[in-house]
Amino acid sequence: MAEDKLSWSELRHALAQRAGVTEKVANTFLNALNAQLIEALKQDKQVKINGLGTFRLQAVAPRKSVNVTTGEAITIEGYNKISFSAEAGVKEMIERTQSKSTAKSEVAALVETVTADPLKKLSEQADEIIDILADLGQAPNEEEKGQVDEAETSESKTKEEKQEVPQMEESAAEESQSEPIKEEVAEEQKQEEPIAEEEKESIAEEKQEEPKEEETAVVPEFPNNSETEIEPIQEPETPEEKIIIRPVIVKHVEPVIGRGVEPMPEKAAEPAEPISLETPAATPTPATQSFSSISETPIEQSAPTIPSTPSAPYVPSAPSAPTTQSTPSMPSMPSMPSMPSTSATQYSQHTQYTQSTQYTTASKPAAPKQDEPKKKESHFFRNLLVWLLILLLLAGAGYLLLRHYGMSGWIDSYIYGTQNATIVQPADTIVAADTIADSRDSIESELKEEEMQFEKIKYRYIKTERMHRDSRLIWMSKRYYGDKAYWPYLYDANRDRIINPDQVEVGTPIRVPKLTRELRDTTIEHTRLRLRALRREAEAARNK
Amino acid sequence: MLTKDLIGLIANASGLTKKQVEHLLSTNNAILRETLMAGKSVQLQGLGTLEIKERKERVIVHPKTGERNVVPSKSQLVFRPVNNMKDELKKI
Repeated sequence: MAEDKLSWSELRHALAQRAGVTEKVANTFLNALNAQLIEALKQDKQVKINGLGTFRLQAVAPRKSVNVTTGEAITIEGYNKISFSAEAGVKEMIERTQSKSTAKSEVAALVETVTADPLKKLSEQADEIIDILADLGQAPNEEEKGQVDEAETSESKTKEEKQEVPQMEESAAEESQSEPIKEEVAEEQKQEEPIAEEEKESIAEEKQEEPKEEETAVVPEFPNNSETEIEPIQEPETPEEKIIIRPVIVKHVEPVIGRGVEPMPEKAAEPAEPISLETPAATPTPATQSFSSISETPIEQSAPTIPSTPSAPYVPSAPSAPTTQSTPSMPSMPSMPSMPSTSATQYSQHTQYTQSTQYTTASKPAAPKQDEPKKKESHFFRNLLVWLLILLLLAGAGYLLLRHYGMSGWIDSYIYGTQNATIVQPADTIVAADTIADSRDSIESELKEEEMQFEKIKYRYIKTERMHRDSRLIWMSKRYYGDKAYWPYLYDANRDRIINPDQVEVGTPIRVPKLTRELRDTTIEHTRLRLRALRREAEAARNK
Repeated sequence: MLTKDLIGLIANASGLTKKQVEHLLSTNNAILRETLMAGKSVQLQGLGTLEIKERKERVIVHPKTGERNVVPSKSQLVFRPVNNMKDELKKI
């Protein structure tokens, strides 16, 4: 653009032609324009030219700097800078004439790619994590079993199952697919942590449910091809793979199982089941051991638990020695992954298979147990804490209320609380305390009282206090005189303003009188009687 | 200072009538606009240059959300004063 400039002479020429004046005139005009523009800027610091824009002088403030070579501090003096802003209309026109299409698209594309990157990264990360988890899951399988090939297929299954499990939470127990997962998970978890007794019960219930399902779905198939390794293999493999999944699944599934199971137990009551119930408890105990050492360690831990398990038949479920019912075989049970290899022989017997399934089912519940107790405890404690806090708060509030208003005041506030007027405690309540003391000489005093005419007290006032919503004569008395009993003086001193001592209007200025020692001393009969008389009067005013 | 005042000043300095000056000024501005519109810059002797500069489009990032947006390119009318004028106005 800079290349094609409209020069001064060209401008002059064009101006002369357009305006119909001689170039001389145009020249003088332009010269005058420039000169005056500068002058005007000097004068006003701002010159507005219609149809073009505004010239401004902008002040640049002085600033401090450092001499680079010497390190001395310098102040750069302030100066004026000429700025020009085009008129709005001119701006628009200029913008309209400019084509911005090409460059814009390039940058836009750049931005798109840039913004797309983080998203990709996230998704990639997720994939990576999944892969890693899958690898971890496979690793144990490989060590324990030689059957890695099937693991891959099972992995995909497990993934699908994972997705299904959360959705099915309620119906999870019922569906056959979810069952294997639970079992496997349970096994793994068993090894990790011991099971609580309470949980055992729930486990037992779960077991019952699971056996039913398995029996219905799996067992019928099994007898037909008893030696097929497929079914058993799938189960053991999946558990390991599912290990990755387990934390999520266990949480959801456990509670569901417990609920759902309860109705089921009757059906589940088969000979093998009771055994399985007890056995699961035993298996969970080894749980403390890490996953990798599952096969070895579980044996030791399970052995002690075995005695608790009443029935020998349960033992056969152990993969290594199905026929032998001896307790040592039990430990091998926990290491379910190893089972698949020997599965053909083991599962040949239908009974054994059912037992093993039961065991697995039993183990499932065990796994949930670990998480459940923790959760339950934490929940329990948290709830306990929360409730304790609430109780404390309530107690504190109640105490404050009682202390502040006293019981009767509280009750009164209930009765009159909604009204605008503040409530002063009824005279009765105060009287109640005094009446006991007065009761001895009640007859005498009453007699005297009738006769006695109390001279009007000439009060000297300490202070004037406005009634607000929560103020009570009684409390003012307590505050100023240290005893609630002197409130009648307050009433007496403010008779002109207080119509009903129980309902003093908010905003009423109450004069607080100074009480002489004589007026305060209730041991003096005269004072007592006077107070009583005042109370009576207040009462009378209240009853009007 | 508004256009009116400037016209008065110019009229005084040049000996032209205000009407003339007004007419000349508006014509002058029209010429300037047209030339600028055509993509040419205008040199005002003793003052500086009026030209149209293109501001490239750029990407800005919202500091809070990290959202990226394109600020579209736009053209601006820019005035570049001559050094003389600059110096003259630096100190008043």
